[in-house]
Amino acid sequence: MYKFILKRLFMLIPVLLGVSFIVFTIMSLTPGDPVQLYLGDNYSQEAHDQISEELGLNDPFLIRYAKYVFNALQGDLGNTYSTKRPVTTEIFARFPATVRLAGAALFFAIAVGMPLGIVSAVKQYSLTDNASMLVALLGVSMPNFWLGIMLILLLAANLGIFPASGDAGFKSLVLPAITLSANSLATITRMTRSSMLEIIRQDYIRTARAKGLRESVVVFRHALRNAMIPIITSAGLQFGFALGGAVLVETVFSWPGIGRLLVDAIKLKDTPLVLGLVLVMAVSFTVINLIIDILYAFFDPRVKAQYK
Amino acid sequence: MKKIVTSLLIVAFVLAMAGCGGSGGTAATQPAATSPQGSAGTPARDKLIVAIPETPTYVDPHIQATIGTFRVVTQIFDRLVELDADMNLVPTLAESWDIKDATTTVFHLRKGVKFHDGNTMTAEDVKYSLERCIASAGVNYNYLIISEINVIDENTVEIVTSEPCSVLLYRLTLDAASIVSKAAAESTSDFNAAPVGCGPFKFVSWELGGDITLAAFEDYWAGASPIKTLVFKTIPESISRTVALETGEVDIAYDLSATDFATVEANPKLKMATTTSGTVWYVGANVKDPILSKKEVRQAMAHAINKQDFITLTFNGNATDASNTMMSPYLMGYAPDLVTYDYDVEKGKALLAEAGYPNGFSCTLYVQDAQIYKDASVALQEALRQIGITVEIKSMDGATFTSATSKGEHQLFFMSKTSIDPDSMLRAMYSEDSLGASGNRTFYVVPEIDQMLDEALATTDSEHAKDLYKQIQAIVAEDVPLYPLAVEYLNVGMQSDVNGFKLYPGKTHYIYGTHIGE
Repeated sequence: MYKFILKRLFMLIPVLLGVSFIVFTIMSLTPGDPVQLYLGDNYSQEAHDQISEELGLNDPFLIRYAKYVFNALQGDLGNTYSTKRPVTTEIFARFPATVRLAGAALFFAIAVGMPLGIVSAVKQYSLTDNASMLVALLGVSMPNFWLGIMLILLLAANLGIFPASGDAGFKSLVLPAITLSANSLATITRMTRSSMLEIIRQDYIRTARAKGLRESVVVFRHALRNAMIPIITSAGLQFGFALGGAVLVETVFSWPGIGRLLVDAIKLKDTPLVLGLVLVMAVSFTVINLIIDILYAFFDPRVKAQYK
Repeated sequence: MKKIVTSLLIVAFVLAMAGCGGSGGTAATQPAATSPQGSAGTPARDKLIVAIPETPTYVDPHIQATIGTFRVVTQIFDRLVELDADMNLVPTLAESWDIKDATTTVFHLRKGVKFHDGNTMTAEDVKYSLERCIASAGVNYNYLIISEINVIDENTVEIVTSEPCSVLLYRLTLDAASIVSKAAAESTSDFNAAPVGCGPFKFVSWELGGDITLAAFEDYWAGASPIKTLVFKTIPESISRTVALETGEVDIAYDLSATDFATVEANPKLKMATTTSGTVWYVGANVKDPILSKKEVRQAMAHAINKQDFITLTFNGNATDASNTMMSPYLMGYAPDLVTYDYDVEKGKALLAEAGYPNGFSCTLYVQDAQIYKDASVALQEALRQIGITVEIKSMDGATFTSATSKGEHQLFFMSKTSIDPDSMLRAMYSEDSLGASGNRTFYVVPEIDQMLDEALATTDSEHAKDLYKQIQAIVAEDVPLYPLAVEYLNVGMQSDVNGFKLYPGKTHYIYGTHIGE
């Protein structure tokens, strides 16, 4: 098991090198001059040359990339072009807010989505089933910035229950978390339902019922556990995406997370900051995938056996 | 099994709550801010929360010139002179000034002005600050003309320019010319983390990605502000700023969307303030293009545009006709409508035919991919179609747009320019000095205009300068290398008990002078 985890962590190295190279190349190839964006509408050529030198933009592409990798290996991701602060400072000032939002959204999605899915599967074609499938359909179809604005208008502007923007404690987390979870809630509900439906028709479930087990034991112990693998996969992936910064939700709710930072960084062609953010996202995504794989083992002894 | 599900839920819960306590405490919403009354009986609120659309990049005024930065910086620092809300020069840190000769101005400093760190402001601080500004490529554009700054005595400083510069005083009102504490700036390696000025508010804290908090400076030379705590909160979406006003989360919100005006005005707890800005939007033609080099073609296009419809479509009415000049009404020498182009499609067609294009032609229009540009490009496309010009809209991100238009890859382009002095506006738009990136993206060059600009800058006779600026405006109004379309309005929404707030056309509103309640 530990060997498996170590092996997976080592695989991070080629992933990060690949990701950084691709992003670096894209940032260099896209048009637009970061110095020009830094200086605004009016500036002199001397000012342009000076800033360009300061930002180290005069070296050829490969040299700049090599320098970047060399420094990154020593833990130095450089300074941002715009604020000149270390990239790590900028990112880690905002990362906790994103983790908090993504975590709350995932919690809400699981807490509501799984029970809905289970009930839908157990009582297929019932009113509950149809209603929760409708909710799930709405959840995947609604653009979340729209849902966010609607929630703001209703619950913040009209009823004044929750604040409309910012990150000021638990209350301000509610609306963005619900908005961000809409999509994953829907996915988790549908995934739980379909996975449960498949399991519930298996012979061993019939056997369990035939043994005279209580329905709750049949559903939770025999069916749900076997249905967990696809549910965990989709929940984990959703969490990974949310950690990558829920750009739209963070913007609508003025949430100070890394999604908004990434958008600003791209607009300003702030290459070191964009690279830093993409690397952090790649690491979180990989780590989450690893955690999912480890969780599989807990739910399915057969998988555990393979990790040996 | 049960254990596993429970532990999974616990993990999710812990993740969800992780850090909730962390920064949560700092901003625990202030009860005062949610009950905007301040009327008799309740103690007046002394905390003001301002919603701004973009976070500042720095709080050091000498690094980079952006509106986002200056909207906060302007509260922390004072300058030698300032412009009031009607754009008149008023003495600030300089009590008075004498113009010794065409290139030398002597400033007499206000005595006993304290910095936030307790030091007294002297001529040394002024010299240090302006030299610091001139040494910084990000902000020095307007100050390279300064050749010497001489300390005459503790309270007198002399500024010498390499050439006569009649608009020097206006440039000294800009935030880049902020006076910083020499002692503080020299003793720290990171002045941006602990800025010290002598403005009405002192810096308290800035959470990265979060709020910026300032506090009233009790020893401010003009008297302490009744607002004791001033918070700038970044809310990028305009609708969210409106909602934050409605819920009382913020007291003032900058730059509301025109579609929200009615909502704010209808709300008895809120009010709006609007004023004309110094930002002029225009459509420009690359005169190096063989077709657009013909004056008649450019005039024909001007005749094809119905400016009122254009303003309604693009700005939702939140702008006014630019009267065929790039100068805003506040600027010295403002001369509107010296030549006018009525909306007249037939005349436009006739002019095109005269230029040799009776059947029109096709051309590109470069715009940025933001809403205002999209609306404008569609309106312009439709207007020009009427006289037979087929416009292909090329929409791109800001970086690409600035770079492409400064290299002259475009035929037509749509853009804006903000200025508070006539020289920087007219020079950026029409001078050979500023071809390309410095502002002249039409590549229109008339030696006579350059001569007049230099002469106007050199003269100490303001009537003569006004006359020269008027002559320049007459030439470009006739030649229309670019057609000024709209002067944007600036707006701010606020709680109805916020009083004394003034909008500054330069966009960086001073909070000093604002109070809550009667």
